[in-house]
Amino acid sequence: MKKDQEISDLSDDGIDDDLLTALQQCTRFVPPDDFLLGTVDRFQVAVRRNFGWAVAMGIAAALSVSTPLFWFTILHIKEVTKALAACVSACAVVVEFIVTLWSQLPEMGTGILLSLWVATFIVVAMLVKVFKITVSEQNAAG
Amino acid sequence: MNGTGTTAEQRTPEEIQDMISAAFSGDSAAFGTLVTMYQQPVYSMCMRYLKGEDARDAAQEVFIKAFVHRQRFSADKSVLPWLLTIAKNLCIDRIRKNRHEVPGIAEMSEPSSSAPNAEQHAVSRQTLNLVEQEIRQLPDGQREALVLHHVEGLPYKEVSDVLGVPQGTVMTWLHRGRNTLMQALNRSEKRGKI
Repeated sequence: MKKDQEISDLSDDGIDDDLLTALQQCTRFVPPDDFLLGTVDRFQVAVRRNFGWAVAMGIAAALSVSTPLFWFTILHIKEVTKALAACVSACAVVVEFIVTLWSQLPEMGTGILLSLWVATFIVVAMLVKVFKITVSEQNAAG
Repeated sequence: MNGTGTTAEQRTPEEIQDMISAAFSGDSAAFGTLVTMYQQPVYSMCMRYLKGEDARDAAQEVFIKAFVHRQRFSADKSVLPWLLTIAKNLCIDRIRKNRHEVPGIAEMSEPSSSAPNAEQHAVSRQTLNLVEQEIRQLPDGQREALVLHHVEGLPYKEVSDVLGVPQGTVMTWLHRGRNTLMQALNRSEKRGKI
């Protein structure tokens, strides 16, 4: 309570006009004439890069998801599960693409991009393997 | 363009919010308006840490970083404290990266002779020199608190957000900073310097 009172007291004292004006003149700097133009130029580059990265990430994600599913679909499974795998693959691609578009990946760099690509590939490959085993067991049981 | 564009005070909060949303969605015109509105305080902040071209480059990067990290901006808060926080952190990072020591105000660039209030309230050259000299002696926290609160007009809460210290500390710094400057002015007046 006492501390609050002290803080309140501290905030009550004002500032002299001369002092304020001098303070402003000492600490305010006016940007150069071409500041705005240069900043907007850099902004446009950043927007393009942002979009470029999003597209690149979308393509990478699409490849990482669709490649193992594609090969698995072609080589190993029956017609019904082919359709299911294709649907899962398509949904995954769409979801990843949307997530990528809204993410902040551009500043994360190539390392993160590659790591994500590899991680997604491994996870999907493992899922496919589990799925394949399940299908095989079902086939054997059937 | 040169710090004389539209100011935040001339727009309603809704207009500012719309403009920020448009800028962060990639609209160059809205981004230009955002820069025009806040370039002066952001540039000033950078000039207090860096010099000339470095300060200008840092100030421009502040706006680009704001765009890149737009999802971290909370729409229910003011954009200026957020921009100033980015500016402060960016300048400190650059100083560390260049392995320079964080410059005190003694190394600050020359202030602009066309400060916005220069015409409104004439201050003698002696007063200006004296205040300039005294500001250089102030600890960084007191100086930043004084500038952000009294010059940029940020409330205590926003100053505390920018400086990363509790509100009570901001008030204490303001109190001490003002006292130091006022005492210096009074001493000079007594000596007849002013």
